[in-house]
Amino acid sequence: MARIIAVDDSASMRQMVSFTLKGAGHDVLEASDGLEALKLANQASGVDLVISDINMPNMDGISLIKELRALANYKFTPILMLTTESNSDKKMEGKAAGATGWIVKPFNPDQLLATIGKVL
Amino acid sequence: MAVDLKQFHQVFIEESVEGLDAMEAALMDLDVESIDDEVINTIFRSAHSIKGGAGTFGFSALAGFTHVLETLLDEVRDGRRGLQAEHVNLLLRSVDCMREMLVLIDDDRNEYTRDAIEVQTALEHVLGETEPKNALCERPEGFAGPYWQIIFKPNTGIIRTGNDPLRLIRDLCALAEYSKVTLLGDCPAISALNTDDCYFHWLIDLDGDALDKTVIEEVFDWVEDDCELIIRNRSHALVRDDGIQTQLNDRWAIHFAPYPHLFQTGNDPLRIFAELCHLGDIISCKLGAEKLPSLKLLDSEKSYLAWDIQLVGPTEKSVIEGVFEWVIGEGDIHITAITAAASSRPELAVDVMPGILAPAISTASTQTPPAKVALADGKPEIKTAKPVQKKAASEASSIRVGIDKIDSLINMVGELVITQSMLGQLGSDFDIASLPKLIEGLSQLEQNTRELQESVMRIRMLPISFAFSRFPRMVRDLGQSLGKKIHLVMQGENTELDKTVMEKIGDPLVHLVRNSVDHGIETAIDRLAKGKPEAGTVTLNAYHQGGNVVIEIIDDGRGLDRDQIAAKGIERGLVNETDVASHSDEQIFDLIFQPGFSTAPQVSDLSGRGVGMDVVKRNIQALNGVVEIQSKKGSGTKIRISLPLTLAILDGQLVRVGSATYIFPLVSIVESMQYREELVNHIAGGCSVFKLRDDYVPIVDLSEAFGNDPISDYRSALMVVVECDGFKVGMLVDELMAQQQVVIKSLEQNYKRIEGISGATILGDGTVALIIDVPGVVRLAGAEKLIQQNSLRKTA
Repeated sequence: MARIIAVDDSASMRQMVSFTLKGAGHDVLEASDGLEALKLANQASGVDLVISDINMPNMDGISLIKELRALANYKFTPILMLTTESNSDKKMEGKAAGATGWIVKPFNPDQLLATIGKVL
Repeated sequence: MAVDLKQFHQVFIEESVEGLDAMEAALMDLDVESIDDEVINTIFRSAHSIKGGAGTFGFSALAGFTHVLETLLDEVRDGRRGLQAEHVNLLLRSVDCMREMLVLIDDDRNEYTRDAIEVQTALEHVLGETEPKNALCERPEGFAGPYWQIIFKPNTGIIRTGNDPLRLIRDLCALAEYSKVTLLGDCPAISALNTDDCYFHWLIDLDGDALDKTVIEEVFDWVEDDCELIIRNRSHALVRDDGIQTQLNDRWAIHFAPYPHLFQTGNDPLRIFAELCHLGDIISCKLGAEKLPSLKLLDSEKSYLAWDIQLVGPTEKSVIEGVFEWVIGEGDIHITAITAAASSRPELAVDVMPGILAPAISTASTQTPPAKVALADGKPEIKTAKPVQKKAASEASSIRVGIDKIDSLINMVGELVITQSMLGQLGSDFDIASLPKLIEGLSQLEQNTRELQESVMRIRMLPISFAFSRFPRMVRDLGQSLGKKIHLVMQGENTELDKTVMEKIGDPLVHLVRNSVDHGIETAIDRLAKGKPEAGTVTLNAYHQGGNVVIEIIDDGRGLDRDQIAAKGIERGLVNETDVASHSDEQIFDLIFQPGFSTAPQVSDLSGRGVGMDVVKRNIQALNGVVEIQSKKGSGTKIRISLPLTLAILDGQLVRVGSATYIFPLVSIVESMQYREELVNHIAGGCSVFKLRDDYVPIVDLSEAFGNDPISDYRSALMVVVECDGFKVGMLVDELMAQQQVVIKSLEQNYKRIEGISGATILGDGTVALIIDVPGVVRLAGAEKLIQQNSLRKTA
C-alpha cells in the first residue's frame, strides 16, 4: 500500500485515477489543481507518489513539480505527469522541472497500475 | 483489476458540458485583435480536458475531433497563429458539435455527427493553410506521401438494402496498395441490439497510385444516399512502418551511465532494471564504479555509477528504449544488439553487487505473475457487467446542489427527529393534562414538515442562468446573420426556478428572444434614421414576485403595430371591426398568440411565419404560467412571462360541488362572492352573465360542465371568479372549503387525460380531489360563446 496524491482539474479523470488506485489498495489523496496539491503535500506525510495533470487552473503541473522538488520531503518522491501525446514539449519541460515520468492519456486502469508499478 | 469505466461516464459528460459552456463564454469574450492569455488558456484547457477524458473513456470519435481542435488552439496559445473572426465562428461551431457528440455519448453512441465531420475538415483546412509546425492529425502509421482518408458512416438500415459495408470496404482496400481500417462506433446493449442494423462507422486510410476521388466514389455509388461519406486527400509525407525493419534479436548489450542528478527526478536505476527483467533474462550486469569519488567528496544524493547489462530475450530495441524512456537525456544510454556472429560467449562477468540487484529482480519477477493472472480474470467481469450498467447510466440524470442547501436539509431533519422524540415520549406516557403539549408538538411537526418540504423543493431549484446561458451565443449568431448590432443584457440570473419548469420554458424563451432579435430590433440604418442608438438592446430579466417567477424579454425595437395587427385579425376573421375599436391594446396584441398569425411582411427563415407564438403560449399555459405583451410602436416590446415556482405543489382552494371536492389553483382566482340572482342576465342560448361592478362575466355551472345535474338552488350558491386567457369567468360552486397546499398527482399517468381536469391530489382524509384546469373547463362549457359574449363587456 502506498500513499498517493492524485491531481487533476477534471473530476472524471481524478475519480477514475483515484478509484483505480484505491481498488489496488492504495491510500489516495485528491487535489483539483496545483495549489490544492501543494497544500495537501505539505500537510500529508509519507507520500510515496504524486500523479499530476499538467494543464490546470491556478497552478499548473509544471509549477507544482518545481514547488514539490523544492520541499525537503519531496526531493526524491516519484512524480508522474498525466500528459497527452501531443504534448511532447511539455514532457521535456516537466522532466526539466524534476518529473520522474509520465502516463500518456488516454490510458486505462490496467495501464495506470502497470505504470505506477514502475516507481512503487 | 477490473475497473468499469462506465461509472465515470456521467461525471465526464457533465464536466464536459460545463467545460463547453466555459469555452463558449470565453470564445464570446475573445478579442481577435489582442488575444488575452487567460481567455485562450481557458478555451484550450476545456478542449484539452475533454480530449483527455474522451480518450480515456473510449470515446474515440470525440477524442479525434477534439484533438484537431486542441492542435489549433495550442498554436494560438503559443502565439504561432493569429485568429480571425471567422475562426471564432468555426470554434463556436466546434463547441456545438462537441455538445451533439456528448448527447450521442450519453446515448452510448461513439460517433461523429455530420456537422462534426464538416467542422473537423474545416479546422484541418485552417491548420493546413499556414503549415503549422505540428502534424495536423494523428498520423496513421504506415503511409508515405499523400494518401486518402475516408470516413464511411452508413445508415443503420444499410444492411436491409442488401449492401454489405464490409464488402464495400474490401472493394475499396482492393484498389489500394496500402490500407488501414479503423472501426468507430459502439454496439448498443445486447437487449437493444437489432441484428439487422449497422451500428458502426469506419475510418479508412488508403494509399495507392490507382486511387483518385472518382474511383473511390464509384465504390460507394450504390449507397450514396444511405450513408455519410467524407473523402479527403491528405498530403503529408508519413513514414510507413512496414518499411522499418523490426529488430527482433535475442541478445542485447545495454550501457547505462546516468548523470549525477538522476535521483532528483525520482527515478531509480534498480527499478529500471527490474523492468528489464520482464523482457528477458539479465545474464550479466557489470557495475562501473570508476566515477565514484572518494568518500569525503561523495554526495549521497547523487548517482555516480554506471551499468553494463546483457539481456537475453526475444524483444525489440524500441521496447528496451521504452523502459528507459523516462531517463532519456538523463544519462548515456546505449542499446546494441549482439548478433550471433559478433557475440562472443557471454563473458562470465563478476557480478559486483549481487546483493543489491538480485533482490530487486527476484521480487519483481515473483510479484508480476499473480498480477497478470488478476488482469486476465478481471476482463470477463467487465464484459458481463456491461449491459446492466449501460441502462442505469442512460437513465440516471444528476443535479448539482449547493452544499448550503444540503446543510439546511440536514438541519431540518435534525429538528424533525427532536420533535418526533418529544411526541414519542408524550405518547408513551399520555394523560389528558398533557394535551396542550401534544397540540404544541403537532404544530411543531407541521412546521418542520413544511420547512423540510421547502428545503427539499429548494434542491430542485436552479438559477435561471441555466436557461439564459444559451442566449449570448444565440443573439450573437442571429445578429451576425441578420447584420444587426445587438446588445444583450441579462438581469436576475440567480433567480431560482424548478428544474422541470426550467427545462420546459427553454424553448418558448428561445422563440421569444429570436422574435425580438428578428422582428423587434430594426437594422442599424433604420435605427440611426429614427435617432436610436445603432446597437439594439434585448434585455432578459428574471425576478420573484409572490409565489411566481417572472421572466421578461424586453427589446427597444420597432414595437408592435396595433393597426397592422388589427387589420390582420379582421382579415383572418379573429375579430370584427367594432371589436377592434373597443379592444384595449393588450387585447389586440394578444391576437399574435392565435394560431397562424403573422404580420411580418418579410418572412425570414429564422422566425418563419409566426408559427409558434400559439405554441409558446400553450407551453407557458401548460406550466400554469401566464404570458402578457406590452408594446409601444417605435420604442419597443416587453413580453412578460409569469410562472409558478414549481410544478409539484400547488396552492389550492378547495371547493365543494354537489358531493365532490374540487381544487382551484389559487393563482387563478380573482375573487369569490355570493351569487345574486338580481345581477344575472339570462341570455338566449343558455348562457348567463353576471354583472360584476362594471363588467359582465359569463357564468359556468361547474356541476353542469362536468355532466352532473345543474346546481338546484342558485340562491345559496357561491361564485368563484377566475381569470382565463385575460377574461373573467364566474364558476358556481356549493361551498368554499379550506385553502391548502396540495401535491399534484398526474391523472394522465395513472388514469387518462380528462378535459377540464389538470390533475388530482389526495386530501388529508384519504379522499381524492380533482384539480380544475380553468381554461379546460371554460372550453368544456363552450368557449366560443364566451368569446362572443366578451363583446358584451364593453357594449352592454
